[in-house]
Amino acid sequence: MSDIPKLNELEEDLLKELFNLGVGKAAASLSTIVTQEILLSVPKVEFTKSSAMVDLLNNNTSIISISQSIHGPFDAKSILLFPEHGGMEVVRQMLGSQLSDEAIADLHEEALSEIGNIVLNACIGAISKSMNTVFDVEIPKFNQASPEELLKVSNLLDSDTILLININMKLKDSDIEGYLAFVFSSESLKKLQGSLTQLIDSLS
Amino acid sequence: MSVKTLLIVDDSKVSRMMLSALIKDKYPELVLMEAENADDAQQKVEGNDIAYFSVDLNMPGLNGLELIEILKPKYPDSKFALFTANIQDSTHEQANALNICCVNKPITEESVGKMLEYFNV
Amino acid sequence: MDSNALTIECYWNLVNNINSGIIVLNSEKKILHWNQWIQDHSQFSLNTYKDQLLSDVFPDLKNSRIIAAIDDALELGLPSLISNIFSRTPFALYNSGNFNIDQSNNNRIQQTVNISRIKVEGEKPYCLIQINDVTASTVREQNLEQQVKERKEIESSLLKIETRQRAIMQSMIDALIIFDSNGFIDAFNPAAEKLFGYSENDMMGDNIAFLIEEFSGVKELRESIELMFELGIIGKTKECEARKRNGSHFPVDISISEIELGDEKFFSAVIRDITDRKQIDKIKKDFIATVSHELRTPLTSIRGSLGLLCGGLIADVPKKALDLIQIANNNCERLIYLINDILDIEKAASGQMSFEFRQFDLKTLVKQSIANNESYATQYNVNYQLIEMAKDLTVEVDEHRFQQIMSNLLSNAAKFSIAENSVEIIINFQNDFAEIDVKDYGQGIPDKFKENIWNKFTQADTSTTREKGGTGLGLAISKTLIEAMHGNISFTSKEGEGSTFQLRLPVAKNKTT
Repeated sequence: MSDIPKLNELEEDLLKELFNLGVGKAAASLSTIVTQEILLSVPKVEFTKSSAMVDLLNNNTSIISISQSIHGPFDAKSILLFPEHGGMEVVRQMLGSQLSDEAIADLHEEALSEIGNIVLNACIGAISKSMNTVFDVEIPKFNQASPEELLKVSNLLDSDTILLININMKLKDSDIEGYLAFVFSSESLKKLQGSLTQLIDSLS
Repeated sequence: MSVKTLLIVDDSKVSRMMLSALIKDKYPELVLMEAENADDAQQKVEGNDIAYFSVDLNMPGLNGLELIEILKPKYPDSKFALFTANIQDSTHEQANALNICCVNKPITEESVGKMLEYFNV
Repeated sequence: MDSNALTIECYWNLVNNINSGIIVLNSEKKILHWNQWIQDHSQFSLNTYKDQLLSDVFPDLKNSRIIAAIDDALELGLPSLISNIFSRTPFALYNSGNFNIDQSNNNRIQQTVNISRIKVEGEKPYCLIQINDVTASTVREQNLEQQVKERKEIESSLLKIETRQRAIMQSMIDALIIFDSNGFIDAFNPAAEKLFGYSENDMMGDNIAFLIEEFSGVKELRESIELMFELGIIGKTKECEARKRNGSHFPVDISISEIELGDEKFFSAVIRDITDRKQIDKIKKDFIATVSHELRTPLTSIRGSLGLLCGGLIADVPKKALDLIQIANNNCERLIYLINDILDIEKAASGQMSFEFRQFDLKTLVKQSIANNESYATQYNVNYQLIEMAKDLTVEVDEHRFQQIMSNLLSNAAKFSIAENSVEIIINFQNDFAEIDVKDYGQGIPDKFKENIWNKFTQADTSTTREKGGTGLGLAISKTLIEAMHGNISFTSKEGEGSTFQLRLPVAKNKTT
C-alpha cells in the first residue's frame, strides 16, 4: 500500500486556484448554453485512495460518472461524479421544469455527458495551460452504477492515487454537491508532483 | 514622486504570490501589501493611504464586490480592480455600476498588464 | 494491396458513404475536406469552398460554441460533445426539399456535433468535425412529450373527479356501500362504518350478504344479486333487516342501483336506519287499534240500542220520542262513519291499510257501483247514466276500496245535483289509462274552494254539511286510495254549471277487438 502524499499549503493552494479557474470557465460556458446563472466552486482538494473514495460515495446507491482519460507527459483519468439524485437534479434544472419526468430520464445520459465534457475539458485545459503541456484526451464515457461497480468499470487499482476535488454547483433553485477525481498511477503521480514543484518554484 | 501603495486581496496564497511577482516585475517602486480576506483587508487599510486595490471576487466572508463597496467611499481617489475566475454578465454589470475594472483570471502577464494599464501607474 | 492502401480505401469509402457529415480543418481552421453528406445537406460543393475559413462558409458559427470547441481541440487536444439538447442547429444544413424555402433556422436539420483533434506525427494538428442528423428522433421525442403531457392532464382531471366523488361519499350522511356483481364490497363510506360498526378496511372484499339478514342463507355469493333482483330491490327502496358488528339486528331502508362501468357492473346501496320510523309506525298502529276498539265498541252498542228502539220492537214509543230517537240514531251513524273514515285515512297514510289486488273488468265494477248507490240517488231525484266510450278494459284494484271511491264520487254527484237531472258516468281510455268520469250538472264548485278540495274536513260551505251531510273526508280518502292503486284523480268544475271528477287507473290488459 503506497502512502497517500500530503499536499503542502502552497501546493494545495495552487491546485485549488487551478481548479477554481477551470470550473469557473466551465460555469461560464454552462451559463451561456442554458441562459441561467450557474456558479461552480471548489471548496476542497486532497489526495486519497480509491477505497477511501468508494467509502465516501457509499452512502449513495447509485453514482453517475462522466470520465475522460488523458495521455501525455503523465497519464491520468479524469472523472466527474454526482450522486444519482444530484445528477438528475442538474439535468432537471438545466433542461427546464416543463419537461416530464419521462423526458428527463430519456435525455439525462446525453445531457450529463455534455455537461461533464464541458467541466472536464475546462479543468484539463487549466492544467494544460499552467503546465504548458498538451494531452491526448479521450471522448467522455457515461456510467451510472453503484460505487463498487464504478470502481470496477473505471479500473481503479489499490495502488492508484486520486486527487479528489469537492465541487459545489449552484443553480437557480438547488445546490448540488459532486466530485472531480483525477486518478494517477504511482508513475504519473511522481510526474505530477514534479510539475507542481516546478510551478511553485517559478513563483518565488 | 511619492511612493504609492497597492493592496492585493485574495484568499489564495499562490495568487497573491503570482500577482506580487508580476507587478513587481513591471513596477518595482510600488509598495505592495497583501490581505487574505475582506476582514483582513479592512484591518490592514486602517491609517494607510492605498492608491490601488486588486481584489479577488470569490473569497470566504464578504466577496470582492462587497468589500469594494465598503472601501470605495473611503478612498475616493483610489483605483479598484476586480479579479475573477468566473466572469458572468451579472458580475460585469455590478462592476460597471461601481465604476471599477473587471479582469479575468488566470493571473498572467497579460491580465496583470490590463489591470496596471487601468490603474495608470 | 498493402494495409496502408486498404486503410485509406476504407477511409474514403466510409467517409463518402457514411450517413453523417464529416469536415476536416487544418490548424488555421480552414476547410481541408468534407464529405458527400455535407455537400448534399448544404448544396455547397467542396471544390468551391476548400481552403476557406469555416466561419466564412458558415458565418453564424462566429463566436459560437463550435468555434470555441474547435479552438479547444486544436490548442489543447480537447474533444467536445455537442448534443442536440442545448444547441439544436449550429450548422446551416438542410434536408433536400428545404433549400428553396427561406433558409431560416426553422428549416435546419436537428444536429449533434462531435469535435476532436487529429494528431499526425510531425505535423500541426487537424480538427475533425462529425455532424449527425437527429431530426427524426427529435420529432419523436416531441410527440412523446406531447403524449405524456396529455396523459398527465387526463390523469389530473380524473384525479380531480375521483377526489370529488370520494369527498361526496365521505361526507354523506347516509350509509353508502358499493359492491360488484358478486356482492364483494368495493367501497364502504364513513356513514356505513358508523351504522354497522365495521371499518372500511374490515369490509373491503367481504360480501354484502354478510350485512343483510335477507341474504344470509345464500350459499353462492352471486345468488345474492339474483335474489336482490328477484326481491325487486334493485332500482327501488326496500325494507330489510340488517346486522351490526355486535350482532344486533335493526330495520333498514335499502335503495340499490346498478352502475355500468364499461364491461363491469357495480351496485351502489344507500342504507338508512329506520328503527325510529318503525317505532313511530308501531305507535300509530297501536293507536289505531286502540281507537278502533275503544271508540267503536260503545258507539256500536249505542246504535244497537237506538236501532231497536226506532224499530219499535222493544216498546211502543210516542211519536215525539221516536223523532228524537231517530235524530240520535242518525247522528250515531254519522259518528260511526266519521270514525271509520278517520281510521281509514290514517291506515292508508301510514301504510297500514291492506289491499287485495285482483283484476276486474272495469265495466262490471262500475255497474256494480251504480247499483250500490242507486237508492241514495233516488233520494235526490237523480239518476245515473252509464256511457261506455271504450270497451273491454281490465284494471287491477282492491274491489272494496274501489267501490268506496265510486260511492264517494257518485254520492257527491247526486248530492250536489239539481233535482231530476242525470249524473253521467263515462268509461274511457286515454294515454294507457282507463278513465271513469263522474259528471254532474249541479251547483259546481266555487273557484276559491278548488285548491282545498283534496284537504281533509273541507266542504265548499259548512252549510252544506248540515243540509247534505257528509264528513268532508271523502275526497281526501278517495285520493289516497286511488293513488295507492297506482291511479290518480282530478276534477273540472264551473260554478252554476256542474262538475266532472276524473278517475284514472292503469290498464292491466286491453283486449283489442
